[in-house]
Amino acid sequence: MAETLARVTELAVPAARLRTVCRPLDSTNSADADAKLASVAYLGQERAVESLRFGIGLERDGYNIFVLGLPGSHRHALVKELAAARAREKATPDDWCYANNFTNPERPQALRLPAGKGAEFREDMHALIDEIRITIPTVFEEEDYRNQLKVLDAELQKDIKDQWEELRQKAAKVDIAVLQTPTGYVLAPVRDGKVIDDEEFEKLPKEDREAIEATIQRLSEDLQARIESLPKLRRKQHERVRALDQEVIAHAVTALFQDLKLKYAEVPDVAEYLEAARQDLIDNAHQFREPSESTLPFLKTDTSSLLLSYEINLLVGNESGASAPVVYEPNPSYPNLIGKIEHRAEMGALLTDFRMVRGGALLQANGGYLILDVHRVLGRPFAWEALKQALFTEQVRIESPAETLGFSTTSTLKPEPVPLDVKIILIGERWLFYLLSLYDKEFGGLFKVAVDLDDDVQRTPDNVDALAQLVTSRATRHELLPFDTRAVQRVIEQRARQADDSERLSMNIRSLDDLLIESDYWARQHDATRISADDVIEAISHKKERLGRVEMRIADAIERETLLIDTSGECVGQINGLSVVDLGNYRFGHPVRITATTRIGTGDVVDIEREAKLGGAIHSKGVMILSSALSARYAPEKPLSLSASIVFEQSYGGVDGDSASVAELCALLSSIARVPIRQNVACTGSINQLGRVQAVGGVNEKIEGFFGICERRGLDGSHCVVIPQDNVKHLMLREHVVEAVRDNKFAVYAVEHIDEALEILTGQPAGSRGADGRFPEGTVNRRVEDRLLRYAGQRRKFAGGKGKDE
Amino acid sequence: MNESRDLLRILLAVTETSPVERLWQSLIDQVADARAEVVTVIVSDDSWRRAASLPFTREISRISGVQAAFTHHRAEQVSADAAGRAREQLEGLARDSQLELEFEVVSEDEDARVATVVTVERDILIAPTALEGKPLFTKLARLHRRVVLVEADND
Repeated sequence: MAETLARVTELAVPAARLRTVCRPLDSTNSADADAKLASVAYLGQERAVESLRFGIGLERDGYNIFVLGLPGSHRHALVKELAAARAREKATPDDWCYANNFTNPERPQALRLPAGKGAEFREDMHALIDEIRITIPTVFEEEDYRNQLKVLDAELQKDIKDQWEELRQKAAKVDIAVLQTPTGYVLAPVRDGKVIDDEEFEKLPKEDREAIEATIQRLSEDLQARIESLPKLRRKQHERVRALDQEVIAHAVTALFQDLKLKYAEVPDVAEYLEAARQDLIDNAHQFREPSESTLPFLKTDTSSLLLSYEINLLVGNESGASAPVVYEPNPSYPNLIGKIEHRAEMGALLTDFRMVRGGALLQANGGYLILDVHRVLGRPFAWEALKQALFTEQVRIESPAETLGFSTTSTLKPEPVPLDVKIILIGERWLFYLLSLYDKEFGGLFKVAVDLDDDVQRTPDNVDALAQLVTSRATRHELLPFDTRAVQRVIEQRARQADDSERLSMNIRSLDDLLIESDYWARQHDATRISADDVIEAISHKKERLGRVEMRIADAIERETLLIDTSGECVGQINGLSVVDLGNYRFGHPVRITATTRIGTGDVVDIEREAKLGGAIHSKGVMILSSALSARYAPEKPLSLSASIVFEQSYGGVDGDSASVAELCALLSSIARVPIRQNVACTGSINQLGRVQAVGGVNEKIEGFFGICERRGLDGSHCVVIPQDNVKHLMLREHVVEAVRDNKFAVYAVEHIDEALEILTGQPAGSRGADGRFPEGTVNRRVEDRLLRYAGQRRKFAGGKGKDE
Repeated sequence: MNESRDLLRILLAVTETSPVERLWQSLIDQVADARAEVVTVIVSDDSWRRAASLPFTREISRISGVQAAFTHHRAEQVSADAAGRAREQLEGLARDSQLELEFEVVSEDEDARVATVVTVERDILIAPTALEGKPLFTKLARLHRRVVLVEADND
């Protein structure tokens, strides 16, 4: 026993190793602190920064970038900074406008102009329209024009009058009158200036009657022909008036266009457009003279509304000489990304035209960089497909999603696509990158550069000093009180705790900022002028308190013995395991009772969690491994004639992970050997088939969880936790726990092998196989082996064989 | 000068196809600032009835040139519509000019009725040129000091 005690004592983790405090900070570094400051935020991200520079610099198809990293890792700032730096070296991209397509108004034409010229051209066209608005009515009011119009009108009237007069005279010569009814004409024979009636007609000789009828028939045909020729006459007149309109308008507007044509002669798109606009004005001159009257307001074509078709819609306007754009779109919905065609409602009708085409972020970033959060892109309907489509085709086609999918049945605009040359930088968590890589076959071809940001960095002296500088710079940025040295050290220690590793430092800037800001709050609450370590500790504990409702409820339930956890005494087949609850923004540990029962059987170890479908795959694997370890260690040459059941008592949710496999095996061995387990001990660790204890996650939370329960019930120096030796480097326990260990009120033991755990848990020697191949008498392992041998014999007996145990 | 000498007595003769607005304008020109007593005679055209009595008479649409039988019913309809339209138009114009009108509708053959209209001497007869030379015009022109003829629109 004394030997066992001595061995166990050696396994105790010294208080100094339970929390690696921050070493004194090197103040000599502060001299070049400013120079380092810019890079400090990207501490430990050298590989990622290099990848990002490579991705930003390589301007080839498909070399778009996916930045993998956790929220709060300063991903956006890093991307924006490097993209902006590169953008400054690039030429300002061209401007893009949409203008009316005069030959096909449903397909607005895209005009490309040098940077800064788009807005200028829009204003120039606006001014031109103003001039035209004044000029055209003046032209139509000029006396010369009116006289020419009158002449044309008089010519038409004369033509028509001549036609009728000719017919009337022709009819009169053969005694036929042409009578006008409200809707037409009637031809009737006349005698002595009066239409004859049937009586008079009947009195006429038959030949005369027939002649009259034939004459009327002939004249009717003539009349019909003249009626049919009237539209032709009017059309001819209309054409002559139109030609006159065009002539006068051409004369008036050509001069107005001349200046603009000269100004934009070097911009081919615009030069072409200006000529088309001038021609369209001339072609439609008559509309300015006779605006159509419509009862529907939106169909009105007064001069002002007609001139709207010569406006310019500036889609993308860049400032001449500025750098290439770096755009971050926080809401990458389909319209925000691609653009949209807006409509205005008038009298229940939805109307649109080229002026209502709006560009999205892709066009805003054209020629530069577009930064998007991938989870947002994937979460917005149609946005991901539209983004890929744009990258594949290297153009932006502004249309509604319904149009894209072919569901739209309403005629609408189809603006000309705009050529696209943009580098997309997606920012997202790793799982999204892996999912896209796996399931979207196009993803790899479009996003060839992965930038994997580290979540934490090594806790080297240099990195510690750099982090100290970062604390100072972030405090300055947020206008916080100054941090004293110990406070900075305490912040650095918390970074290690956040990294779950005493040898690493978390680089999550968001959580760092939160801690600094909250520490500042508590310092100000105490009217302090500097932030001390106590303020940092207070900020940490208040946060724990704010988020710790569930933890408190579990602790209360344990204290009130609703959840049964023994922290004293001994029990066979019962052990305190340790579980971690992760609530997303808060993790905590608490003990959980694991029990094992054993009986003679066929070698099955029943994982009740799995049978009840509450156990995850990893947990099941852990139970299978321990089952295998049990067979290999204690029954290598005989069938394992045992049936065992293992369960997490009072666990009503799912259980996963293999971190309880050491505890489960110990409970199992306790049950087999009938050796009681100390209930003032909790245990965590996973096991392999050879009995080696392996590292697990959440070790700090687990220790603190058991410590908290024991502390509530009163620490007596017997309470302890068994952890894997490999987890010692991860220990960053709260000061309060470390103090309790230092005061011998609590202990943490680190083990490498199951036997070490068994000795701590049972207080008895585990035992190693001797030269005879047997475990020594009086050891836990011997008892296990003996019991299993007995089971094997009994099983053989039950099966009809004869064992030596009989 | 007494009141009766200032009063202009006018007979306005209107046929169904007369240019009412031109006739009215002529009337307004004649009245100028004077007080006027206007009797309007709408001369219904007997030609419709006569033409309709002939079996081969057709009405040819002004818009399409399509022919349709010109029946008695259609003739009466045309005549009544034309008279009604002329009357409505004149009433509207009279309202605008604040003139009071008396209306009589006569047929060219209704001598007795024409005689009741032309019983007193009047200052002016305003009539469309289409009436000139017809027996009715001679009857109407009797007892009028002056005759103003208004050109009709041939279109």
